[in-house]
Amino acid sequence: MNTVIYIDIARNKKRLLHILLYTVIFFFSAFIVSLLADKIVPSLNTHFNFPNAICNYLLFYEWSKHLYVNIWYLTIFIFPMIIIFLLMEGFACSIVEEEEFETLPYMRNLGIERKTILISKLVLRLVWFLAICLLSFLENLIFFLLLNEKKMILISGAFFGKMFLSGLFCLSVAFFVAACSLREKSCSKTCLLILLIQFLLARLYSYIGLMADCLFASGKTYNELEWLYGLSGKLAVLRILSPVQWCYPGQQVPIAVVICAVVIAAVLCVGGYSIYNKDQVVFRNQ
Amino acid sequence: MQWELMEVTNLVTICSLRNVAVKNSNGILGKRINMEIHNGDIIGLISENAAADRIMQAICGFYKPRAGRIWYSHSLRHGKGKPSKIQYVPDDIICYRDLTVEEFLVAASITAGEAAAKEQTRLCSQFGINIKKKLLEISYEQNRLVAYILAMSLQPDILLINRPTSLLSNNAFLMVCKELVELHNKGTAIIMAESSFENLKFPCGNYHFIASDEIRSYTRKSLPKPGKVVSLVGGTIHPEDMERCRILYGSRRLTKFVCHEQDRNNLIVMIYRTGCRDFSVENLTMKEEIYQDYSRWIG
Repeated sequence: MNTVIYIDIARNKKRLLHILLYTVIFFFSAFIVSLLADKIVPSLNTHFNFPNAICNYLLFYEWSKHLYVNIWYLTIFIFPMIIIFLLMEGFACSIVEEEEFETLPYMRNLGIERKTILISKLVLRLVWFLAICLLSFLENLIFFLLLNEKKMILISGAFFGKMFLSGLFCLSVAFFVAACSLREKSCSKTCLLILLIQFLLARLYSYIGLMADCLFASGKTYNELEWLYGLSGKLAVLRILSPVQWCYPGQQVPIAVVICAVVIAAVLCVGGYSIYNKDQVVFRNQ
Repeated sequence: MQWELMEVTNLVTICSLRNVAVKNSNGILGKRINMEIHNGDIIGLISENAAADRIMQAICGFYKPRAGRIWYSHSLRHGKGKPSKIQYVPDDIICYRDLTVEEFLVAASITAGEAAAKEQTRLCSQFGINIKKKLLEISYEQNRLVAYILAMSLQPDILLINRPTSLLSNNAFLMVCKELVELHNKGTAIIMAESSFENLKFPCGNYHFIASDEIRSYTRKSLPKPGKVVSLVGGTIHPEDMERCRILYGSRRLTKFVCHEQDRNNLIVMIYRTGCRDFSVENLTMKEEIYQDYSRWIG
């Protein structure tokens, strides 16, 4: 396992570290800039005060007096999507690359089984993802303490915790995708497509709701728009389909969905593992 | 060049293939393949299709044969997390992106231990490999040599080499051969796969020629010497041509001649080809010789 982790770190250290650092730097610079903006141009925050319709769409609880909190809300709208995509893509592509570039024989020469390669890659990606979640949380914890936003500490804690759990589910999807794409060159596009589709499906209700709000603001009566609001309400059920959506603040995830997610993840892992080992034999070490 | 290969006296079977069948996406490559591998064997597997590659992959466990069994001796058992006793050198380069030679070998020595690391350092300096460079920045030849270094440093019981000369210059292959001889003298069985006999530049003890439905085995001594083919003017053969040919080649007993018509005068065999202005003498390849394939001249 150490050998595979060493090789994976040696090959991807720049990429993994860059993503980690960029995340930390982004939150840090956002905090500094918003702090300066609050001091120098206090009216800036109120200028950006979005109407309720947009606030709902962008998942705001309420408009905060601190610009950083508002920026944080704007960020987390897309942040889990990007990080989970990088996690899925990195994991899936590293598995596919072993097949594509036929580097498995060298691992076999060293007595390393496919199973070990898989577990090592999974462990490395999990540790990296955990580091991102933890560092981001700790950083935001400090910032919210400095801003005296105690409610935000809980919200951000829940957000990063749930993001980590969503990431675990997405890893099982990535593994399945990788196992199915072993003969293809890359599976990053497939990962992106899967994430985008479920993200857009889950957000469909909010687009329709936003459209209805805009029409209402332009002078249409509620009666005329009732069917649109009704449709939006019905489509809100689709939120449950998106693992990215699960980690958003205010999103309730019923226990039945959690159980379903665990079962689906298990099925994907077992299916992926069988496909991954389809044409291979375990070395008859006797 | 003469190799000082030690004669292995007490042969022990360490691996045997029984009625193995291999295939790829194009269909069956070889079936009913029986083969024994002893310690200290040097075996050449020759197949025009990818049967030899597949057999190697089956022996080292990457590929499950479509039929038959492969038996391994207990001596090939390796501890968990220890390097395999069966080492495989693929015919291609090592494609680890963003990995230096040093990092690759360090990763290997995590599993293989200090002794292997020392051997790797020795071989790297002997082969003149810059270990600070990335695997995909060194030449193809050096990249392939790194694969050889990895396999040879782990002191395997069976060393499987797919297309030994691929990507290597003559000098580089000579360096590899010296190390292979040393390995063989320590009792390692070396198996080499090639697409043609002519490319197999290392003297093997046994040769297995694999076709789709048969495997023909020869020892070094029983290997037939390649013959020559005489092609003559088409239509009726002129007696003078025949005589010239006989004097030039037949009487000198350079080699045997092959043909589809039985002997005339002293020429054992002749193949006629229409359209030639004069006769010509061409070498048969080993495959053509073994499978009596004269399709280049007939039809």
